[in-house]
Amino acid sequence: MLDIILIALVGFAVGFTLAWLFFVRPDEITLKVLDHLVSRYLDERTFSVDKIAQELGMDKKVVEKAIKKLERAGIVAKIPKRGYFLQDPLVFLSPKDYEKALRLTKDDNILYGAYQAPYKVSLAYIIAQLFVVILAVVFSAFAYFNIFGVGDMVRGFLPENASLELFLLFIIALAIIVADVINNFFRWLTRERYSVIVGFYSGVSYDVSVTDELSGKIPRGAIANVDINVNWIQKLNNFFGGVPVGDVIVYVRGRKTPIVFRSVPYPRELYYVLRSIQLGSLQWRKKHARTLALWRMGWFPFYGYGGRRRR
Amino acid sequence: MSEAEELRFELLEEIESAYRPPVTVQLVLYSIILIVTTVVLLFSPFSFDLKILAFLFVATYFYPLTVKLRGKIAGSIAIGLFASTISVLFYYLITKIQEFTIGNIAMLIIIMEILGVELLHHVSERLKFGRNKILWIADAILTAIFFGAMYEFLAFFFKLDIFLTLLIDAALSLLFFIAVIPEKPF
Repeated sequence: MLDIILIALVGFAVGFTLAWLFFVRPDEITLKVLDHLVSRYLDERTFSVDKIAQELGMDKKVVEKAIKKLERAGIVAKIPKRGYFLQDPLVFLSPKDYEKALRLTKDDNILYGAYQAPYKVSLAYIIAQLFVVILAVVFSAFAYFNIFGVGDMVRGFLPENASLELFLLFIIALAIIVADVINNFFRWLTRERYSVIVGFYSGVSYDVSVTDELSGKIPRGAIANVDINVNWIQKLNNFFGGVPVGDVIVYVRGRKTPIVFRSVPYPRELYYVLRSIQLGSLQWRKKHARTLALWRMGWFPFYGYGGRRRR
Repeated sequence: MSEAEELRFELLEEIESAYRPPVTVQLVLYSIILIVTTVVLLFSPFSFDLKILAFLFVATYFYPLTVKLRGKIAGSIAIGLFASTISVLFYYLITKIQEFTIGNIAMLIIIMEILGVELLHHVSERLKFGRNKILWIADAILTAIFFGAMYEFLAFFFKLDIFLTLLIDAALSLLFFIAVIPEKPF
């Protein structure tokens, strides 16, 4: 009885200590490079490693390492034959799609870019994913407690020296893998199909079909009103899931029905970006670029008790 | 700074907290889950070891879902819970194996690999979404181990033709690889 408690405590202590020691801290060099980029390259001006190294008076390899780190976090994007771009922190696109967005908006400042993910809050999708695992768990429970003779049936199938408990856990583990693959498949199928791009001059560009290349357009001046809607499944996702999502509704002048962007990541931010370009008020962008970039890096803000930010 | 600008500042700076419940609610909810689990397990017919394992699993699974704090302590607690659950699971399964046959050992390896990777991805977003050389190599090594263990399992339990065994093994290993490769967050 005591041995299992001891193992649990030792396991916790080892895991906690390792995570504590290997916790990724903001490093000074990357912060310095980030500050420099944010202050001088916010408006989509390309830059090279050599140029930044020269401007900062730092070793090229050190700067390159820092830029690669920023690239992995989605702060900068490398576009072939053109160099590096500093992305706005609210751009959640793959480098390939970011490049496409820049091309189609004629190098506009992309303020927000993301994919709609309606599948994320689809009950059919959620149930399909859970179904495989629940089925495996129910089957294992029936076998473990020998309900309706399922246990005897499984034992009859297994070789004599095979462990029933191990086998049942094995079935559940395989079901988890199948559910994960289904999840990855759905994500692959729907991701990068329905992009929403907000450019400073070009307004809103969006995909209208799976094979589309941002043919849907809402010019800046045509935005009559913007609304946000978060349904109960989205709310649950936002409370307990990873990336918060919601619907953003754009009312366009001269159009009867509004355009709805379904389950876009960070809908409140998209709402504010749209309101900002509608009102022509983008002062916040430069002012908070550093904070947003640090948030994107996962370095800031860290919340303390009560949800307040600790500096 | 105008009122509208100030409002925008707050919302943009505390970008994620706007979507999450207050920290107090998160902690209370997590505590309730743990208390309910404890009560249910106390009255369940399971052995003490299984009760501890079930409790740890619930604690590890629900921690990242309910507690949305970011930072060194919160992240370390998540990994600590993961390590604790996996250690207890390994110990529990080892004690349950009556005979260490190749089939049983192969199943043990596969279970530990799948549950270990899936639970680690669940508790750590950095590891789930991280795309660097080390993680790709780690995934390739894990898949190779999975391939070997699955081959032994299939050969031990089903005694199929070697070609068919390799074919099923390759298909399942591919599924495992697809499931564990780093994902895109958006």
